[in-house]
Amino acid sequence: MGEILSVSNVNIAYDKNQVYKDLNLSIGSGKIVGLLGPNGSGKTTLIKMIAGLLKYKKGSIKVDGHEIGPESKALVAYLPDGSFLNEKLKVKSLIDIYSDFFKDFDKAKAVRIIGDLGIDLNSRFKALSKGNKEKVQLGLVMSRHAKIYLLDEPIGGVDPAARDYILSTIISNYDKDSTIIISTHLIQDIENVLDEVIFVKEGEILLQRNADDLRTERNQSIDDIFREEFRC
Amino acid sequence: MAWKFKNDIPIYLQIMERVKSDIARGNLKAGDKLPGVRDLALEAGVNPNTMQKALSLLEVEGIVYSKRTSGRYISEVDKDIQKDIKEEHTRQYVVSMRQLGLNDNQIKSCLDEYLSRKFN
Amino acid sequence: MLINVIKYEFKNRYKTLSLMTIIFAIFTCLLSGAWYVKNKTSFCENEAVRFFWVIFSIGCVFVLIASIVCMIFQSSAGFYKRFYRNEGYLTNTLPVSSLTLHMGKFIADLIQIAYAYGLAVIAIPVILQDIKIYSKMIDVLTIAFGQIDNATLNSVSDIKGFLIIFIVATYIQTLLMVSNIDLAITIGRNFFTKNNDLLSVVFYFVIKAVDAIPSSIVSMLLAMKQLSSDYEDVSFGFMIQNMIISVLLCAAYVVVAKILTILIHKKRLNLY
Repeated sequence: MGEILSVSNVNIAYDKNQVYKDLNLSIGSGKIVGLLGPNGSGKTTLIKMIAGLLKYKKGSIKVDGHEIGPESKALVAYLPDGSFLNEKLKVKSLIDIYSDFFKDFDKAKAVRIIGDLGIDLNSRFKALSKGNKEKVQLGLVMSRHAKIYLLDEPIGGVDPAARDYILSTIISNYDKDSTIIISTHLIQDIENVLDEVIFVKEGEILLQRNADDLRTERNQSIDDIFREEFRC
Repeated sequence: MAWKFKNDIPIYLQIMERVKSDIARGNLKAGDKLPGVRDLALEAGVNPNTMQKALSLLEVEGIVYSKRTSGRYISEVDKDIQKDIKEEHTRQYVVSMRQLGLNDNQIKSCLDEYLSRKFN
Repeated sequence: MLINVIKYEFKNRYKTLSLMTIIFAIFTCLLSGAWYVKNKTSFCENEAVRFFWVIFSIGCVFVLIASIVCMIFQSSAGFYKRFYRNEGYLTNTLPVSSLTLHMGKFIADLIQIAYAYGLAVIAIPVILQDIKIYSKMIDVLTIAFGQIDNATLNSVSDIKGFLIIFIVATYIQTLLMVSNIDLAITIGRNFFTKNNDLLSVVFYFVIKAVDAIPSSIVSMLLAMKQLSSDYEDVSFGFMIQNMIISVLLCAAYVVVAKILTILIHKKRLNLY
């Protein structure tokens, strides 16, 4: 149960706006962490930096001791918000792509998860319903045995049943050697699942606490605390 | 699907309450085997760490015990548990009625009236 | 991992590639049929029929060229889509280095461009219904060049050499065009946050202009050298020499473009 993510003195700007200045953050393994903040607070920027999609100036980000690069990418499973696959491909092909590139990918598990959804492996991704697309994407990512899972808004825009399914998948994939980081602004639906919460506001970490401790301290739900902290 | 929780109280405490309630109601009996942490967490819709914490504390309180290889079981049903739960519910009721401004006699008559109505 | 990247590239390309191949095959057959009609039947003696025949043939040729062009440009279109659009969220989080990603793509391009031109080369004998068309072409060219330039043309193998260099030159120039487009896309996407596509187009022409500078200098030097030598040495030998140097320069440009693309991608990738 050591440190799995270490962010030190990271600076990043976008379009002349400083998104993060001297950001420091440490996250341990074996946790389900909620990265909570309003839109534009920098959550996605942080997630993308860890995933290796955005380059930061100064500072360093280390995943299980590895700087961001091919080694860290092998340890990080990223589920973006929105579509990120070539939809013309068959589900089978997508599974093969993951299998080819990621040594930690459990192909049997992916086949099982997708099969349980009643999806034919030979169907084209394009032909699936929106809900099923999200579930397949989640299934592919969660079938990896990664050290860090980055889920960017995994439950936005899905119906309650799908939401339950996604949360169950997240819970069942919990592993004490890995950490799941969920970035979202839909706190109510997800707070029961979180170990730790990190509030992000305008490029600053407002707080980073154990969820239950925070509840005891403030006698409020995380959702209520969030609303209080981020009141306009 | 998931258990219902109030989010302003620590989840682990609510889980413990629920287990104790189940025991008090007779849904869980002494010697019953509890599902594993992961399965229970899945059923409850909570973080496995939270479930683990709740179960560990229940073990500390003596309400469940664990056999090394086979998992966790409900301990001999303590009459105290039932008593504790009943007392807790009563306490909450009295507190909320007092918050409305009623004194003890008024609370008693309110209760009597309700109970007699219900059984008509 | 390199093999995986090449597989990945082709998994994403094969549908369009297959479609273009089928279209190419169909229109090759149609054009072949048209040629047959012209040569072996008397339909085209009628003026009206001949008119439609010409339109039809031009249409077929147009489709054939368009499908080859599609196959070639698919490479860069795919690059743009797979590296810098939504799919970039997958491609750029694969556990491979920038170098491996781009090398894989490069090899896939080499194969695809060769395939496209290979189809064109095969199509010609099929359309003209003459397997020996290339030998005949060589014979014709030998005679033609022989008439211009008795001194330097020695044998049929010179013409073959010329044709081979011509094919290699076309291939490398196509490869260069694709590499330059990729570099332009990379610059547009990684250095700017607005108007990326417009700037990519601008940079394509900037790159072409920059490439033209050494080429022009080399051409001028060669021309000067030729002018100062024997008159007899001009034309054929000059042409082959020029082509070889052009091929080498193009290859150098491709290498430079690739290196720059990889470096920019590695140092500056920002996928918002």
